[in-house]
Amino acid sequence: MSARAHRFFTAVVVVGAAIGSGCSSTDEPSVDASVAPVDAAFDAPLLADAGQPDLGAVDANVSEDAGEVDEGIVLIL
Amino acid sequence: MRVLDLAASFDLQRLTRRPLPLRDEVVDAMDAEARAHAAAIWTGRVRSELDAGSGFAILLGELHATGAELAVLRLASRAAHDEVRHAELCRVLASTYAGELVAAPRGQPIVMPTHGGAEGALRTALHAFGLCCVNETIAVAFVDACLAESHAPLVSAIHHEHLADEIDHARVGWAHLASAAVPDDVRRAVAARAPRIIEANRKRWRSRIGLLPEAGIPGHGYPSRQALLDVVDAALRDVVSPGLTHIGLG
Repeated sequence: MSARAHRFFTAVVVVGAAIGSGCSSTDEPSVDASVAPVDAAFDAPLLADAGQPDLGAVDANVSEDAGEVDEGIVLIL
Repeated sequence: MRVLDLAASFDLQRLTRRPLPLRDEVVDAMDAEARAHAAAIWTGRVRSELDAGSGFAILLGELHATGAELAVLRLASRAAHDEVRHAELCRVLASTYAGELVAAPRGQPIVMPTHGGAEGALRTALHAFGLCCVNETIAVAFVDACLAESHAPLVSAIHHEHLADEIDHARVGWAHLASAAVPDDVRRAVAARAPRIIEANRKRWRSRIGLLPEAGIPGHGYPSRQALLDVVDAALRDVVSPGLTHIGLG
């Protein structure tokens, strides 16, 4: 995992999970959109070292027929 | 091509506290064909962001109904608002490229994945996983890659705004699934369905990226198609999959 990917993982997963599990008391938005350069998003409450998580690849053998799962996916692009 | 007066056309201070350049000379220097193409892409993004806002509004209702933690409700409420604001920021860019005001769309109904008729806490958790843990986590990496490819000041400023928010949007799902509000049996069911949901989202992203210019729009926030496809797979490999392990679902 690259350093960039590790920072993504920490900012999104580690901090997110910490918020949900009550480890974070951040009542304010974690990124101040008025002043924060983009990297500040990654510097927002880093509660724990993400360590070196397993790099499980996406299961390539999942069904091609995503069926009802595929309906209603909304993307931002 | 005409130059739009952004300050007269949009209430920019309501859209972002980040100062936006009112004139982008990198955009001004594009030829008409390239500008029209960029305008069309960003006009499409307006609709996509609005639909994402509708998705978050649906998820927010489900989170309320199934007893989600306040911290999760706070993040999800903000996300529903953010996406509508993002739609308007995309319209700022679309209008800038077009040289004229692009019409604002209205909201439209969307449906969320039915997941085989799942209801209650499971339906909510599956929607949080798909929309946030997968889709918005990919979006973080996607916007980051777009930002790195942007040399146009207005485009960069708006990508900065989006990226900061997308991180919080992705956190909604990771926070909810890690919270005590999600029972163990629901967590196990999400884990079992996760590969299909990941693959469905991957296919949708690949399909949409396939509509973008093969070489991207150099300097204007769109890397090449291949670069974006690689970004999607890297996000799934480096963030989503280990994320499942991190919250005990891998």
